[in-house]
Amino acid sequence: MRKVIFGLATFVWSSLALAQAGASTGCEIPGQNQAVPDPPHQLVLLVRFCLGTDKDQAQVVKDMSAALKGPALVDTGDSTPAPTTVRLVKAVDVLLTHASGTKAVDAEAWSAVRTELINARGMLNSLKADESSAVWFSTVEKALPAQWKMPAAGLPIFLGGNSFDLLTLPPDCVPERSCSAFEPRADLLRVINLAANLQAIALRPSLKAAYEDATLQRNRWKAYRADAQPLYFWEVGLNSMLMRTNLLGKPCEDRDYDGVRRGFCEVPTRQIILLHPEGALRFSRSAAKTDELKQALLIQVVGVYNWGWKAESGTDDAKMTDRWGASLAASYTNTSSAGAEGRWGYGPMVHLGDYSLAVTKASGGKWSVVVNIPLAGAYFGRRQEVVDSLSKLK
Amino acid sequence: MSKHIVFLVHGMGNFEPGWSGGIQQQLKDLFAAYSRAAPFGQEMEYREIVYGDIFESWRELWTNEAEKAASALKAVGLDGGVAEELVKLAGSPAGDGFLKTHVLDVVMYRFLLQASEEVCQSVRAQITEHLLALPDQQSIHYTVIAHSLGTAVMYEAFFGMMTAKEPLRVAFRPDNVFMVANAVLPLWNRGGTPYQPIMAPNLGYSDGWCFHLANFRHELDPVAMLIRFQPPPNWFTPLAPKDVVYLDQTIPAEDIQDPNVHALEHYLGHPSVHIPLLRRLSYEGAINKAEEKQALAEWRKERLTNAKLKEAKDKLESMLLGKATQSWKDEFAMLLALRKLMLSSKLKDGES
Repeated sequence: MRKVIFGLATFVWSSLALAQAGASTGCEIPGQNQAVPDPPHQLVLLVRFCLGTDKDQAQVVKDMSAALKGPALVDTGDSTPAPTTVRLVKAVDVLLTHASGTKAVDAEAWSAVRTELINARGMLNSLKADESSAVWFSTVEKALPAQWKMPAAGLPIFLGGNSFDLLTLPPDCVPERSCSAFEPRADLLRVINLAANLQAIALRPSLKAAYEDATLQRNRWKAYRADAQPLYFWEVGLNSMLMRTNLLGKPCEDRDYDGVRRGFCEVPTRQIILLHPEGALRFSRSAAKTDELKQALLIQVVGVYNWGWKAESGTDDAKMTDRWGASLAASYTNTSSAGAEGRWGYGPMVHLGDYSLAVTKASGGKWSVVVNIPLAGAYFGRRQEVVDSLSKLK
Repeated sequence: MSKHIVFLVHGMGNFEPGWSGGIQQQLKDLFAAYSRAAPFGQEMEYREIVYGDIFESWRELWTNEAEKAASALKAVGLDGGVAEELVKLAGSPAGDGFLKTHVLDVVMYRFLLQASEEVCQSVRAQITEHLLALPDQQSIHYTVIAHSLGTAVMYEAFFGMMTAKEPLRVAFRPDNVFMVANAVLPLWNRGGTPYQPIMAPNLGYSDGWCFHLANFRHELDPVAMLIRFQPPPNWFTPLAPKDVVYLDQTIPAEDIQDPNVHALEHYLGHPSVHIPLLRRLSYEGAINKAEEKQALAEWRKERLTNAKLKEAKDKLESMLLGKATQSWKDEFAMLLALRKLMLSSKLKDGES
């Protein structure tokens, strides 16, 4: 007896737990004669988290999945292979077949769904075998528009010129009673969700392309900040203002007819340098290492720095290449004995990669060479290597 | 669609990865507080967006370069003159003044294309990466909750994404966007009007940003009240009427639980904010009128009263500009005062 009670209790507990799970996120759809605990609540849960998903065991879900099976649905190259379109049309046909036939409940909405699917098939069939990916995506977007997502977003759906509030059940669908409209409505919503799935599946490569472009541009902006000339904020401001001009190659396109800039700016391949103070070293042939060079304050009065973007394995990359530039520079070095005043010298400066070198001359003085720290380090490092090699030969 | 993704976007301040943990918990607790909304709460997955690192990188660069220049200036023994002024100017982001605060982030975003473009590309990369990680055989449903500077960042990033050469297709646009303490108008730097047709909540009927857009402001929030987001009637189409696809909610001045009414936590805690949000993420009937009334009454029991309320209101009212000024000087002063208030508040929104 105790065993029977325990068994019964376990069964009741399991059933309750199952019902609870079903009511929260499960995929159980009450049949025509089954009581629905809370019809509108359950319908929203189903449309949002079940119908048309891999949790949904309905045959039409499996049929659509089978119609789409094969290699990657959409080629990401310039042209889209015909089989992709064929498979999409096949999937639409699966939905159309399911939507056809007599529908006792929601007949008007089913009819509107069929009309939309027939239109979608027509548009997809109009795609040529060698269509460019841009045209292909735009056509698919028109054939399978965002409206298919509306019920799952909690909104009435607009189909065939009419709006259908499919999340509101007939008034006789009350809690804890059977609701004859529930299962057919769920089926209708399933087809709508499957059409929305189709849209996402077909357009997914465009999302991948957008991600790849965003990553490339983000990395190029990082390189702009880290690998080009280290601009101060007033230089960043100046370059920002110049980004709409030819001086920087017009990385930001002209504004549209309504004065609005669309899309994103290209990452520039040129910087303007203005009043840029930095530490440098006055070169001396008598010095044996960097530490023996005199420090200098160098101000790039005005200059320009250019680069290109490396293309690796045929694709654009975020690595800078051919970095070079030129500036007019002023350098200040205290060259005389201790206590004596230093002097300003002026002259041209060149940049090549990470290295910069200026040749400046003070009024009445001699020409002197001022180098940046990476160049001094490279020079003395190289010279030390040569000395070491020669000593080994001896 | 399996889970519904909720993107959380921070505002002005020092926000590092993981910043949204507290906000996520707050939203989970809010779902759990309403029995019919609770099952939907279990189906939400939260993703945070971070972009403050870009401003920080620029600030670090300027600080490091200025330090090197200052050290050279010292080494050559140069006193006074233009060079010293220039080096001092270069070092200003490292000082204690205006340029050191996160108000600078707002200035950088508004005036430096390099910063705003990198921020938008970073947001674009983060969103598309998250969406690509979702199951590839199902439609995608997600919501954006953006706060303060984050509203401007998301608005512009999505505008850029949808009008780019490789546009964000309709299948991958958000279901809902919630803009809290909206700062879109003062920070829009693309010219023309920000009320672009493509940004309207018109996705179901044409080429729009989302299905539903909501805008929340507190009457005493100096940022949200600077230039109010008020779309013109013709932004909405007859098929997507304003009263169906748009919500504009103002929280009354008396409703203050903490002087930092600008905080995302303060906004989300208010039933006039979180109830519409939870309803959009579940369904309209998930929270009934009686529950709403009760939640509001409960929330108001915790409001500041008497002297504390007066003090908070006085402080906030002194920051209100009434309208945007031409010079930006007043706006910067307001942002600095607000920043001071934010730093002294216990409501941090996950800021480090």
